[in-house]
Amino acid sequence: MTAKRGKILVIGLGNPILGDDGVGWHIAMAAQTACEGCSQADSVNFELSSAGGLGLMEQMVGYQRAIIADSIVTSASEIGAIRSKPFSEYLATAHSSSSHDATLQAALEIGRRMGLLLPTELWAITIEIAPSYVFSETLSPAVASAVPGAADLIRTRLAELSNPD
Amino acid sequence: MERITIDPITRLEGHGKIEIFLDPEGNVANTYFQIPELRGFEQFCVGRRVEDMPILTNRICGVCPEAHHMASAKAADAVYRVDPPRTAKLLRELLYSAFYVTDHTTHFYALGGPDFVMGPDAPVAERNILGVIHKVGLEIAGKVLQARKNGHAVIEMIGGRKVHPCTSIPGGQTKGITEEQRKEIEEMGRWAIEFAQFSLKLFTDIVLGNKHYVDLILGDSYYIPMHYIGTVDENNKVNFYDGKISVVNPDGERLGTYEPKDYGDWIAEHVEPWTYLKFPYLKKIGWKGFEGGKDSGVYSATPLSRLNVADGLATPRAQEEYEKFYATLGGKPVHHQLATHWARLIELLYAAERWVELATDPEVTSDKFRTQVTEKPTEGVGCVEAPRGTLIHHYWTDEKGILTKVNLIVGTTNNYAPISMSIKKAAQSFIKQGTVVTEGLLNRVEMAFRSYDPCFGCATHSLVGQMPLEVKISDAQGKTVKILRQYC
Repeated sequence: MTAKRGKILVIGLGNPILGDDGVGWHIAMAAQTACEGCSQADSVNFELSSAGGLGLMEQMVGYQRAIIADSIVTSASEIGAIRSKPFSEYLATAHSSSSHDATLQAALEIGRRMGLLLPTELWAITIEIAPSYVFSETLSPAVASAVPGAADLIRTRLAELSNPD
Repeated sequence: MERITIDPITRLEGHGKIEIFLDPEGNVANTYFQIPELRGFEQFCVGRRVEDMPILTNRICGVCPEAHHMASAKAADAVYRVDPPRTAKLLRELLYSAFYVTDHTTHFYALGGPDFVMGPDAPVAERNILGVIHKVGLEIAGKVLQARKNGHAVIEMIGGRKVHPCTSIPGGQTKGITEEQRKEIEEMGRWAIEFAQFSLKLFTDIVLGNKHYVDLILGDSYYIPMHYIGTVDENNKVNFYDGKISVVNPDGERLGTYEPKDYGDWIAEHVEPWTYLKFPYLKKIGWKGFEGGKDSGVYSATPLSRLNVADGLATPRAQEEYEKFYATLGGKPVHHQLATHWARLIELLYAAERWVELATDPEVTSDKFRTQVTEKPTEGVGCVEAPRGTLIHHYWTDEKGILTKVNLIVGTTNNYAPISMSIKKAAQSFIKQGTVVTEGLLNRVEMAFRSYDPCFGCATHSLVGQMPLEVKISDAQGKTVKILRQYC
């Protein structure tokens, strides 16, 4: 835990073999590449995950600040639309809720009640996708073209978190 | 005809929809349980190397990647006709036992348990894991998180990663464990036994100690006699990792025991026009519709099924609980499908005891954890008991080990017909002429499938917000007369 203290977690969510469902991984990987050599590089850990709920909360233990990169299905925006908001403004992103255990909000509450060190600053950067039901390792063009913009937003957010003043 | 829609179902991996059609008198005429099946996985695999499958297939599912990893590794063993050394089998089953403890724990405390601990009529905002913690105490949260943490630690030590293991390959494992790791694993296993016993005590106190719940379990609403299948060892005891598949009829008579590679002789699949998913059934009896009983080929593969097909459990404490289970419920087989929750906790105890047995085997730390592959690849079947049903992986390759065909029967798919029948039975029991459809009442319908611990997704899914439950009631002309929504 101590080794993570002070660091920022960027976590890409989704299923990497389910087409656009896995765009969170692409965003996180692009952000990691973009951050190589930058001033924040040493203060960030990048991870990829297919977990939600309790499993996702468990991956966040030890971090006080985290950014989730994920897909989202709202049907209120065009495919490829990028959003950057505090996680608290979402009911959930695409994968933060696991319907097999708990929502991330519930999981975080459980973790905090247990005294675990968990992010107090949690941000979500999402790309709108259509529901994805066909296995594929490639993204649709509209979603793929949004990845660099979402990765830039992560880099911007990392700079803000690293220099809060 | 009125129509009630539950879409999507709460607390179900993947998202599904229940449609309930009422007749003019307001009784349930029929129900349909539909899920959006993920498509194309078998085709996605064709052209890939068979040795890559244990890594690839554990990405199918966000819930039970360990089950796919194991079934896939065993199928790859069979493709190369290689028998892994005993140490590799010990390590695989040890990892798998730890996974079972983690998975069954999560189901009871986060999914199935809240219906009983909080009550089926509790407000949905309270009928969840947070409600359980509030009612039972914060200590329970610590135990649940510790059980998951320990399970993931074992999976990482043996499988290389916490969630998606990567060390099972054709012929065995890529690495073994040290004596230091073994001791740590043993210690965590002993803790898991205590935790499983605590969970069974909790079930006894809260569920079996409540006449209302006992009546619900033993009542007619969730009672469906059917056939059962499950994996057993050479002594006809339950085994999650390896063995033959036992089949019993609704009277408890064993119809046969078959090698997993012969699944095609026993299992066939029925197609309905209203769903993409197929309905497996016993081939020798045949598909007779959504009917229970001896003359219908409908079967289930669940924790309850596994207890029903076996002669017992191979560990002492779990065997005691097994005997208590059947003594309490009136003997074998048990057809009260809600009793599956109890059966699952008995399996939790078995998995914990097996964990310690395997961790204390003198050969588990041996460095002989892989048999070299020498044969040309051809075709092979791998099978394990996933927590939610018998899981089959069947691969065909060319002589270079490139996949030419893949067939999977995933755990929950076995139970598609029983789940559909259970939903209809519960809906017919609770929704009758003049019934005011409440959230609590619909939750009782949901409880019918939740006991199966279904996981139709076999993937993580894109969902917006928390899982919504929408109940839409329409009149015979299709006009919406009432909508209920809830979030959990």
